[in-house]
Amino acid sequence: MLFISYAVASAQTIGTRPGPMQYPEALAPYNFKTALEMAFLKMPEAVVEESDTYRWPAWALDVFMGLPENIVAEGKITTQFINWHFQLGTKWQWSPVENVRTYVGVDYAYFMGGIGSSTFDNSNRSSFAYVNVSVGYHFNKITLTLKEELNYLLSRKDRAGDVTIRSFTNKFNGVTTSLYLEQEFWKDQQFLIGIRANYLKFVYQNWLLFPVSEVYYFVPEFVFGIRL
Amino acid sequence: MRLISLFIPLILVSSCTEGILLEVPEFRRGGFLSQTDDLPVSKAAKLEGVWEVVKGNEVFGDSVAITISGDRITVYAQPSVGYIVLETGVLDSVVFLQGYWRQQVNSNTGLADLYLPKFQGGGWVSTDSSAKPDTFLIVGTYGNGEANPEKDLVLRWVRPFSERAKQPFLVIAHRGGGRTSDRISYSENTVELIRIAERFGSNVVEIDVRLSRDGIPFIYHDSNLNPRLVQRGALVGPPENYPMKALKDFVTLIHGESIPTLEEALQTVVFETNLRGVYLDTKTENVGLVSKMIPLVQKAIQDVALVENRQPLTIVIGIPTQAVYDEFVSIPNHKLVPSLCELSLDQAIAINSLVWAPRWTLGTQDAGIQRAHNQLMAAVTWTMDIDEFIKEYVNNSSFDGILTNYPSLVKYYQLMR
Repeated sequence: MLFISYAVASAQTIGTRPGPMQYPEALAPYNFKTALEMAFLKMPEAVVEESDTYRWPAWALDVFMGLPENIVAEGKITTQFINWHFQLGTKWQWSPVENVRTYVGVDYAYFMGGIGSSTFDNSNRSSFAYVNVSVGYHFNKITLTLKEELNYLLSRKDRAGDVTIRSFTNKFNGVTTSLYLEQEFWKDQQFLIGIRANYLKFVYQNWLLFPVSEVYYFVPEFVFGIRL
Repeated sequence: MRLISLFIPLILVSSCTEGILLEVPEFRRGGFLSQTDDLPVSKAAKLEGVWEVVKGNEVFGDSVAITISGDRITVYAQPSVGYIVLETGVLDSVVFLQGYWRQQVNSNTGLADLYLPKFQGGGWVSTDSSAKPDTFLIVGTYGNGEANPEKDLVLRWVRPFSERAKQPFLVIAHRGGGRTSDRISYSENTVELIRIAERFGSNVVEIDVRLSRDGIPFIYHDSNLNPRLVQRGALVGPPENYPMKALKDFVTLIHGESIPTLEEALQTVVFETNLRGVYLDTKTENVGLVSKMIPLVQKAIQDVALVENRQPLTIVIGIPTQAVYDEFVSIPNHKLVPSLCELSLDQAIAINSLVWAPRWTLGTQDAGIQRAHNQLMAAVTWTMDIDEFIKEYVNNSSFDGILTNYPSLVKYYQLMR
C-alpha cells in the first residue's frame, strides 16, 4: 500500500513532464515516472488446451525513480488478483550516441499465487532474478525500445491442501525479448504498445497449469500502457 | 499512430512449444533379438525389483525399478520421467534386452542395448536349475536418437519389491496413455496408444467420450477439431456436429490415426491388453451420451470372459459435472451402473459410485478417503503431474490411485515404496 500511495503521489507531482516509459532515458535524481500497464499472455495451446489459452489480463503499476550517477531504480507490481508479482531493481543508464539510450540492470522479484475454492486449495511462492539490457532509439515523436532479459528461478514453493513442496532451484529459466513502441497519444499522454516474447520453462502467471518445467515454452505477451 | 498500427499484426503471432512429433528409435531389422529365443514371462519376472544404477546415472538416476509391463519389460527411472521399454530374448544362457529409452518431459530418447551375462544372472533367469548368482547385473549401452548406443549402462540388483510396493495401486493413464503435447508416439485417445499404455506403467486408462451427431459415442478430448489434435482437414468446429462416418473419413489425428469409436476403444482394451480398468470421461452433456455408453460397457465386460487368462476388467462411467450427474440419476437403476464421481463425496455415495475422484488440488483429503473406504468405494485423484507431489501422494496419502500424464513416474514411486 505504501508503494502504491507513493507512486500515485509521485505521479501527481511529476506527471506533468511527458515522456516515454520503457525507453531507457535518464531521470534526474529523485524524480519519478509512473506507468500503468495491461498485459495479455497467450499460453501454448498444446499444453493448456483450448479453454485456457486466453486468460484475464495482468495489470501492472511501474514506477521509475532517478538516482545519482545515472542510476534508475524501478519498482513494479503486477497482479491478476490471484497472482501477485513484486519486482524491485536498479538500472544504469548510458547514452552512447544521440537518440540512443541504454539501460543495464538487475531486478529481484517475488511471486505469490493462490487460489481457494471448493475444488482448489493451492498456492505458489517463487522468487526470480532478472538480468536485463534495454536499447532505445528516439525518433521524432516515437521511441522504439528493445529489452532483453535473462530469467533465473531462484526458489519455488508449491502447496496443495496439506502438502507443501519446496525447492531452491537457482536455475536459468529462459529469456524474454521485449519490443516497445511509445508515442504521444493524447494531450501529452504517452501510450505504449509492446510485445514480450517469453521463452521460459516456468511461466509464473500459469503456475497452476505448468507442473513440469523442463521444456521451454514460447509464450507471447501483449502489452498496452499509459504513463500516469 | 500509423506506426503503432503497423505494430499490431505482431499480436497475431501464436504461442507454441517444441514440435510435438517425436518418433522413438527402433533397432533395424529387429536388432539382435531376431536371432534369440523368447524369454517366457515367468522367467522374465525374475528381473522384477529395485536395481542400483552403477553407470548411466546422468540419465537414469541412482536407482530404477524393473517390472513386466504389458508385453514388455520396463525400467522405471525418476529423473525427467524416464523409462526404458525393452524386449527380451535368450541365447546360450545370456538374456538380451533391447529397446528404447525416453524422458517424457523433454525430447531425449535413444536406443538401449543390454544383456545379463551368463554367470551374473543370465543363466539363472533363463533356466530353472541354476542358483541365483551373488552378483546379478544388467550391462550394456544406451545412445541418443537413432545412433548406435555407446554410453555405458550398468544396473546391479538391490532387492525385490517391498510388500507395500506390491499392494494394488491404480496407475491411471490420462487420455489413453498420455498427452499428444508430451510427444508420445501416438495421438492421445487412440486405440494405438491404448495398446501400448501398459508399457508405461498404467493399469487403467482414462479416455474422453463424446457423442456424434448420429448418436455414436467416440473418443476425442477437445470441444473442437483443432490443430492441437487434428491434421488440417475439411471439418471444423465441434466434432459432435458430424456423423461418425464423416469423422472417420475426413478427420486425421495428429499422428495419422483416425478417431476411434468407444466400441473400438473398449474392444482394444478387452482383446489386446490386460488393463484392469477403463475410466470413461463423459465430455458431451445433455444429449443422452451416458445412456448410449451403458450397453457398450456391458458388452465389453461380457467379452472379457472370451479372453483366456485375462484379469477382471472394471469400466466406470465418469461423472465430471452436475449436468452429467443429473443425466445419470435420470437413468433407471443407475445405482447398478458402475460410475466414477468427480463431484462431492456425498453425491458419489448417493449414486453408489465405485470410485470417488476428487481433484488433487485439495490435498491428501484423508478424512474423505476414509469415509469413501467405509462405503467400499475406491478413491483416486486427478490429474497429477508434479514429480514431488506424486511422490508425496503415493507414499503418504490413502488414495487408491492417481490419474496422470506421467504413469511411468507414478509407477516408479509405487514400486520404490
